[in-house]
Amino acid sequence: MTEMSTPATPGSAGPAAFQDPDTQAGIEHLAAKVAPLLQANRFDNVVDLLSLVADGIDMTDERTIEKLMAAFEGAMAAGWTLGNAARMAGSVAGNAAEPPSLFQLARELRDPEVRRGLHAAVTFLRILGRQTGP
Amino acid sequence: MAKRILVVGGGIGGTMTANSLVHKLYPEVSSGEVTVTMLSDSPDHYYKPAFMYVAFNSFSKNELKRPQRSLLRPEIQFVVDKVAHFDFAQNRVRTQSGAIYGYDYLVVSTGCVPSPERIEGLKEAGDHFYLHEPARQLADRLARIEKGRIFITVTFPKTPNVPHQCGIAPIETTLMLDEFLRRRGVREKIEIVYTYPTVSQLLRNCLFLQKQTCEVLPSIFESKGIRFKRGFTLGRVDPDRKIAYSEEGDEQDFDILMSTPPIRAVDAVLDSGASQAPNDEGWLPTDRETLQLAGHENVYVMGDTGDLPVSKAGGTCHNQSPVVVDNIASSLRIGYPTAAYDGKVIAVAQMGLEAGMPLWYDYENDVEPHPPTKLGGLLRKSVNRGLYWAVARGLV
Ligand SMILES: Cc1cc2nc3c(=O)[nH]c(=O)nc-3n(C[C@H](O)[C@H](O)[C@H](O)COP(=O)(O)OP(=O)(O)OC[C@H]3O[C@@H](n4cnc5c(N)ncnc54)[C@H](O)[C@@H]3O)c2cc1C
Repeated sequence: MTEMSTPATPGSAGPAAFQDPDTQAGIEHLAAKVAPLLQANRFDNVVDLLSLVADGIDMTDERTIEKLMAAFEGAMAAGWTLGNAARMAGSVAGNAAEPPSLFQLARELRDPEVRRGLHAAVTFLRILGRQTGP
Repeated sequence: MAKRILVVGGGIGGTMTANSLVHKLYPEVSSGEVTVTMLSDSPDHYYKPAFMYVAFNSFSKNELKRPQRSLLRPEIQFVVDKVAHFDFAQNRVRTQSGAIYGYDYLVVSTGCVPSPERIEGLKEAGDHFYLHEPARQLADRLARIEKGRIFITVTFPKTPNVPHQCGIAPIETTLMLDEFLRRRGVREKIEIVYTYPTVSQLLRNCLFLQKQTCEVLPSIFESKGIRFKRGFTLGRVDPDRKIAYSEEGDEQDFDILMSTPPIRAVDAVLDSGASQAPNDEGWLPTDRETLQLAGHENVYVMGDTGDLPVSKAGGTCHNQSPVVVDNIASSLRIGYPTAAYDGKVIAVAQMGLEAGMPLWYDYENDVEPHPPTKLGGLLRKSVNRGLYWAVARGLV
């Protein structure tokens, strides 16, 4: 970690903060609030959880982030692409005054983008088949 | 006839803005009343900050680029064609292929170009990390150097109060360099000298472009044995003798000259005649609040190509984009722009190879430096490795 001097923030500097009557009143209020929890040992799990979080952060390194982010990007990009297609397709179909005839639909197959989409869908099914096969 | 919005430049500013325009104007876009077209000169989108990591051999080319089409909403018509000429008076652009695109609203986000050739000898003898190929060359040198002197220089545009690209990058890379050489076990035999020019935007004789950060830097550098020098404005370089000369009259030798080179706007912006910036730098005169191009209410300028005093950074585009989107949407819907940019920039600075420091500032308030942390470092790495692609899609 890089050392960097922290500029002092007014009102929060060191032990002087405890001399402040408002701060003292706040601490007393907090102590009264947590006293029953302290007496009943209700903080054990919270402290353990904090420790676990701290362990997690200490253990996380560049490689872990790389893997987590690859998973994030994969899921985000797939969801985004499918969501985009659903939104735009819904809007285009919804805006058409009449549904296309079967003949018009067949003519759509001439559009290279439609064929690319079909190809992707068929390939998707093939790969799904591969992954669910024996 | 449909209102045509044209976005030029498929970098971070243009991409997030085109996506957000479709989202904001969805009723008009889906009914065909508004079209959004993007022109960019590259089919790929580069995560530019990663060039900095390329210099330390920690990012490869395929990891830092994605197909531009995959980052755009399908409602956007994307054309790979370079704008050769902006005709702001006639509301149209001409592309390299000869096509003409008219527009009702234009967003210019064409970035800037590192131009080491603007300082004598720098292109031949200097290194930088602001483009992929130069960053690779620097990486090879940093991976091999065993002893000697790495001299760091920062060049600001000559246009008053306009910063160089990504203000914090020279500090980030200096700290990364120190740790990189320590890991290699050669730091003891290599002297690192960080320098800063006499004039850095509104400051004089500092080590950074904002005063508070400038004041904490000496103690950081001293703790790492990094030497630093104020008042070194790189004037020319002698590639044979490996000496850097400053405009202030100093001369310093080096084994590696790691520079932040001069920058300028892209050719089409330079040649548009819209800029009065000195030194043929080409920054577009931009309204600091509405982000409109001076004299052209239907043209919006974002990111590195503008002349605003804020950092030329992705974190700037991130805060300018909603303003541009709101202003175009309100102009279309109610006839005038309603949003104002407050100069906000957000970023997570990479402080050494592991630690990070989230930072933010605006026209009124400077960055308040605070201690870099490992959590900040993990956040930065998450941006590098994935979150950026959600930002480009306009999702974050
Ligand atoms: C090494 C490095 C480190 C950085 N670190 C950070 C960081 O940590 N944090 C941060 O926020 N920012 C950082 N930045 C800055 C950030 O990358 C830029 O500020 C940001 O990319 C600017 O966005 P832009 O949209 O203005 O331009 P760009 O992202 O540069 O995009 C410009 C686009 O326009 C296209 N184009 C150019 N000319 C034409 C033309 N004539 N016709 C059509 N298309 C054209 C280009 O192909 C490109 O797609 C860093 C930059 C570098 C190089």
